[in-house]
Amino acid sequence: MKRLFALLIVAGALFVPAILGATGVSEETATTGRDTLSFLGSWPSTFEPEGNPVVEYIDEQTNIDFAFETPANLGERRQLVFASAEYPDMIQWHVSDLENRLLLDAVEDGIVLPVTEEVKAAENIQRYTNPLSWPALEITDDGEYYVIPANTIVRADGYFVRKDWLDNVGIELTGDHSVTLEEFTEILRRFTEEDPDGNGRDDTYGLTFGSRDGQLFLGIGWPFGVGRWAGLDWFRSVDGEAYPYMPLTYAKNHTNMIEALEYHRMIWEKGYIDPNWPTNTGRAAVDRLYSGVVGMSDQFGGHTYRHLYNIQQQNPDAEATYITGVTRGGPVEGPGFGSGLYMLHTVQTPGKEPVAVRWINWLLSDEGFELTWHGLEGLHFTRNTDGTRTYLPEYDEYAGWRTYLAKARRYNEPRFFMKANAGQAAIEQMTRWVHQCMENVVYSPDLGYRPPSASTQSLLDAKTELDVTISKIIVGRLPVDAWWDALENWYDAGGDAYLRDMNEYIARQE
Amino acid sequence: MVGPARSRTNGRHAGNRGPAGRRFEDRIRGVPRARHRLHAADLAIYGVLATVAAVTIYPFWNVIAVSVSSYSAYLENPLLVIPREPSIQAYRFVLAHPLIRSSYRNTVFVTVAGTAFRMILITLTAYPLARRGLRGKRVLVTLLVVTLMFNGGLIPNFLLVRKLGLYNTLLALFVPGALSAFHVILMKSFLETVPESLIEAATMDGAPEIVILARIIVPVATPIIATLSLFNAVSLWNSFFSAVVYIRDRGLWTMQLLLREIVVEQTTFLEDPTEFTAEYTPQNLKYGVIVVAMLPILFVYPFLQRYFVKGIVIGSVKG
Repeated sequence: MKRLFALLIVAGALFVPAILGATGVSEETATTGRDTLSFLGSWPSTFEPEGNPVVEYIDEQTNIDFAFETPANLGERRQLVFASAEYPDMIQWHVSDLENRLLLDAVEDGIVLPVTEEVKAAENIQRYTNPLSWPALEITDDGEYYVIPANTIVRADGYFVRKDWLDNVGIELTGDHSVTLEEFTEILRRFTEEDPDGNGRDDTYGLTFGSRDGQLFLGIGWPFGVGRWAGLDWFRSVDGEAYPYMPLTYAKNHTNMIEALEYHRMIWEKGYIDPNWPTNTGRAAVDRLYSGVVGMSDQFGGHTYRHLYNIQQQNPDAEATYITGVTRGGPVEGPGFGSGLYMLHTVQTPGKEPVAVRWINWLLSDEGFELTWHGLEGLHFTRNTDGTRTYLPEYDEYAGWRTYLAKARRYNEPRFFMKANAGQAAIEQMTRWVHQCMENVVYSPDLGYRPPSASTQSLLDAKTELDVTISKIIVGRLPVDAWWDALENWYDAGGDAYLRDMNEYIARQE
Repeated sequence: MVGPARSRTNGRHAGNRGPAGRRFEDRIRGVPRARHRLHAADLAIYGVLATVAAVTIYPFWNVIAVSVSSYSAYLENPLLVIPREPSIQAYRFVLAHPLIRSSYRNTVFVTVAGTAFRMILITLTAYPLARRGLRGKRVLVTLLVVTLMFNGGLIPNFLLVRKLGLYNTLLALFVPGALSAFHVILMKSFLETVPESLIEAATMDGAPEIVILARIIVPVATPIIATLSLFNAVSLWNSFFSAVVYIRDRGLWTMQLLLREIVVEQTTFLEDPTEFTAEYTPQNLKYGVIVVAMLPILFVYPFLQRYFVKGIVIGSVKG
């Protein structure tokens, strides 16, 4: 009996895993005459590559059999891939990974292969990559490119505005839809005080922003020259400071930051800004816009009609327009960060460099652009006799993952980011706005570089303290002059070293 | 003549009486008690507990209420308690998601099979350790306790799982770490309270060890087994990080992984908004996914709660 029992235990230990186990991934098989490419990248949860007609179409056009790995968390998966030394042919990275030790070590160790010859010979990659991106791609001193670039459009986003509210309060946007700071403030005032929605209740605000973990930022900082995005420094050429290039945020001898803080505090105290601003994490700010509580929000111009569609679900009479820029006099200047790079791709398998580059090059071709914007004829749209398209209901589902499919985009083509079924008139209008926002950009000359001195703990803590000080000043818990003390602490904590290193880098680029 | 010792207080010791003067023995026997007036302290205690309960329950209630309300109702009042403009749109969205059925199936499998597997291991390990006279017991317990203090870390565990051929299988979600030292110690502590005479009696009747374990020990240990089963089931149901690390195929995703993808996909504030060309998923739809993910555990908990409450202290009662 005991022996039988012991045998049963052993048998169970051997066979139960076999019965319960699930299958692993089938190995990719090479088809004669076709290349294969395994790719690790980010995809939405609704994307299914198996049996996907769009993927099959790309397979056919590029003569590549793809094996897409669709991880839940790309960053974690990359770490584990490099730990296990079982590399897919191609891996997707984010532009911030240019300073990621994982990538840099992989380049140094020869795991990531150079793609210089292939990239230089790729006509579409050369044509549609932002010229400013090329210096940023030189992550080693040997003159080789180790990453295939993928751009996004660089623009200084303006503000989505309820046009019906503007009409109700007697304001019209003209020209290129830029406004002066005074005009912008007047719009905020009328949206807050003059019942723009006509419901007889005092229940509206001019503007909303999102917040990051409760921290407020200077969403209207750019007319003052101090940028707007939390955590990103807009280096400008300045006189009378310790260094020739400085973000005016850190300027000791200029009052731009003080003026910006005073302005934000004023509109907060007057109630022109959504009081939920500190708690608008995630997409809560967008919800406030859709609910009709606020009339403006800082949004990408190419999504104007998408936001309008959602607002019209609550209020069918809503209309939309866009403010492309705010100025205190002179041309509109908005911050442009980085070099236009958004994604990077590396190749780990010898012999796959031409295949990977061929795929990316095809995505940037006219055919690839048409596919990633419009979809497949017959599945996502039908062609009319006059050459125009009629979009099918399946296009909306495709819109959920087509930007993920486009692992490279044209740096100067904003239409890609608009839903193709928004209508020709809407697309033309949004394109004008976005082009204006692109022209308003004044690039930060660092092109996204961050020196090691930017990552010291003391400086990071001091930066957090600056952000907290901004928040407290805006809501009135600290006087505006408190900024100078916080700035001094930032300098003492390593800010000076950071500015010095950045200026040395900028000088080298020049 | 020797007889049982009598307590000098005959059970009427002052320390045995509650606030109303009832004896402890009367209270646990259900003897009707005298009327008790509420004191200010009682009111304060009830008030605090009610507040804590309300604060704890509110987020769950809000999620359920929003999930059965329309998006417009949510926009008007995100803090809904009573559903408005009833809508099952959220649940249609959940059922329509291509990965919802597979992720649910995977999660149920991992929870059920994982709990069963773990409980078998825990019981088979704790029982001999609870028996008196086991040679090398101290060494074995020490080895067990050491695992509580040290862990190889993410990368070594990942490499081990790959070497064992468990990578990208559901087994990877419950086989590694299946034998929790803490749970073994809890079970062992409980089993040590089982009278040895029970086991001796069965042995004298000729029962082998496996029959003793199955027919005597397991029924007696029902409270601790139920408690640990609940701990493991909840832990496996909510398990997320293991799935991130060990699962590659979407067909093997668990509910928590899918839930994270749906809820987080379009909510990153600092992500470049140009990336989101699809419609935003409204909050009420996301809440529907959350409700679907937590429903099974909500249903199971009430049935196992009595064991849970009893089992919390069960390992600490001696004698």
